[in-house]
Amino acid sequence: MERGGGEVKVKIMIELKNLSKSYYTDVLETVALNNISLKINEGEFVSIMGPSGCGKSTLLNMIGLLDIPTSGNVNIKGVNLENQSENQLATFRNGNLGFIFQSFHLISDLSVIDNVELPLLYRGVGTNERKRLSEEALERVGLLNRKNHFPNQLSGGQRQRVAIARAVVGKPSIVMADEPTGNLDSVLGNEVMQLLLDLNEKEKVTVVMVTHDESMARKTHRIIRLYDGSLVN
Amino acid sequence: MLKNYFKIAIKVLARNKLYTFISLFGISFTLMVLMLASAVLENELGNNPPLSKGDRILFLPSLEGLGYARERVVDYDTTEVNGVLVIDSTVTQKVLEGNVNQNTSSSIGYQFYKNHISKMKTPELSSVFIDYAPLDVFPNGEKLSLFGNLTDANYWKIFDFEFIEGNAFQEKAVDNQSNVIVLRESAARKYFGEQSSYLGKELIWGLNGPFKVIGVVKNVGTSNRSVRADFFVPITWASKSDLDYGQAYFGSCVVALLATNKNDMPKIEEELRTVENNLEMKDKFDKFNILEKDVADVYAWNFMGSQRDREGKNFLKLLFGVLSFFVLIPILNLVNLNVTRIMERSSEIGVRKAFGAKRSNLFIQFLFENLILTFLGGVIGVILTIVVLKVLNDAEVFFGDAKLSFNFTLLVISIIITFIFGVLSGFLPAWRISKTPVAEALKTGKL
Repeated sequence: MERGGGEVKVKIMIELKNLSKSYYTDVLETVALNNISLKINEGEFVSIMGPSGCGKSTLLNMIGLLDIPTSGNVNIKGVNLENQSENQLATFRNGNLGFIFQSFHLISDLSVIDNVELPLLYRGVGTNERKRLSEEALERVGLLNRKNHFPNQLSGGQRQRVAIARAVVGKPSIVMADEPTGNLDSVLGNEVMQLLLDLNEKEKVTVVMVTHDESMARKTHRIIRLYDGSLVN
Repeated sequence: MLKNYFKIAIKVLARNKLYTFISLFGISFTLMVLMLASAVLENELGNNPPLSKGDRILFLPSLEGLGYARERVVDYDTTEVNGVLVIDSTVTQKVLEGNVNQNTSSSIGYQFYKNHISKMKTPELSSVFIDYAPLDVFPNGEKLSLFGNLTDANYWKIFDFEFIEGNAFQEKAVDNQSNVIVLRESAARKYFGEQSSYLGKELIWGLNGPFKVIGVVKNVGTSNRSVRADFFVPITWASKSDLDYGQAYFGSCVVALLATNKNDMPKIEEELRTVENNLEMKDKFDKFNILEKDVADVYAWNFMGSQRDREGKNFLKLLFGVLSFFVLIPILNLVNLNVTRIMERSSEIGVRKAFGAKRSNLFIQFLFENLILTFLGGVIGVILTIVVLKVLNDAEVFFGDAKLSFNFTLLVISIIITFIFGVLSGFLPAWRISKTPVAEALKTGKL
């Protein structure tokens, strides 16, 4: 979707083509996603909505390269990610994507700062640089003073802010958020949402968020609605 | 990166205290048992003085005499004498080879040694002695029970006792039936009390009178009765009826044969068979078998088999089997714990993969955790072993004088084995989890 001439150029960040995902048991085929084609632009904040079990998280997992589609392909930043090896996908995720999960998924054995520096660790960033970037990310979410705490010493809201710091520490172009406010009350939920909005506005990070919460979704640029594995428009 | 893995491993171990404790206990306790078993075996079967040449020594502790059943065979013959038919019968005894109906075994007689064994060509040396003969002596009017070996002079050449002072007796002392005695350190102390030197002192052996101490040997750790005696005197002090029972070739002597090298051992056995076959049969015996045993067979005889059997190798195999089984239990336990624990950490694996961990990163991480666990288990195992060895040595559990020592080679092997199993048990489940899609791994775990 590039506009020529003197107009602002809008780059496509994520493009899904005819994406389908089915799960198989011995006797049953469950279609989770059905022939989805979708484009998300650079700097866009998109929310995915729909009833429970409609395939929202599956879709997010496909975009985030956490799961492999049954058919169709995912194209991110112009790179066709079909047929990439597991390690190539890991490297791609590490360099370009950040993740925020509903249940935080912090590693309980690691301190806050060790959790935050995880993406940098797999990028081979040196110790001092890791520390500096992690502290910077923690400062941004207002938790620098908690850097040596462990996840179980933090409240839910704080844990999610740590998870956001971890998602952004590697300066990814895209952040995937799977119901980031789902486990939080409205005040904490709003705080987390504000962090995501800031991230999108100030740093032009593309954000794809799955949510149940209509009010949160309305704050984003675009709402994609899913029903029974298909897009609804 | 490695520093980070190390940090994570230590944290994981520190936080899962119960798991860490069980694993460490399993590893260290197993190592300890292995080390102790090897120390006991090393003490018995290692080539330590006075059995430094143990792998070249063949003992002849007993001789077996077999008598075969006999069949009465009557042959009839008819002849005509003066026109009369005369029936003549011949009665013969037919020996039923292999059909044993008489079986006697005992120690070897002195004359049998002199006439047959001492003339053997293959052994470098041979020695005849009566082992572990009980003797009550009465220092200061109190009874002291000792066990002694009555030996020839070659005995001291085959068994390299460590002399604290003095020397062994020579051929001349044996031939002259000299009143000389070599004492074991502990026996000397018991008889004479603590002294700076025991040389020249006299031990009274009942009617045989005073025996002059000419040497004191260090205590020995092995249970082998051929060398574990309190005193040693020339074999000529043995009564004739002890040396030879007067029936067949039996007596109460033990013979030790020293091979020139290890490979000569089978040749000695072959020559023993020749000696058996060339023996003149006597006292209604039809076959004599010399029942030889090596050091391991002699040790195994304490636990299994009879004087006929040579169970050294089987005993070691059995022991190895039992020990392997013993090691298997903590290893399976470790595998089980590792599998469960890694399954529990599926969410962590999911997160790590989501943020870019490659499979190799995960493996190195689990490898590190197991490496550190095994290393700690090894260190604790070594400490436990040293403590228990000290306790056992001080408490004189093993035949009083055994000095159980630490076997470093076995330690290294055990640690490597534990490590391999630890790694395998960590790797297999990690490999399985790392194969599942990240989304799946994240779904199952909660953090």
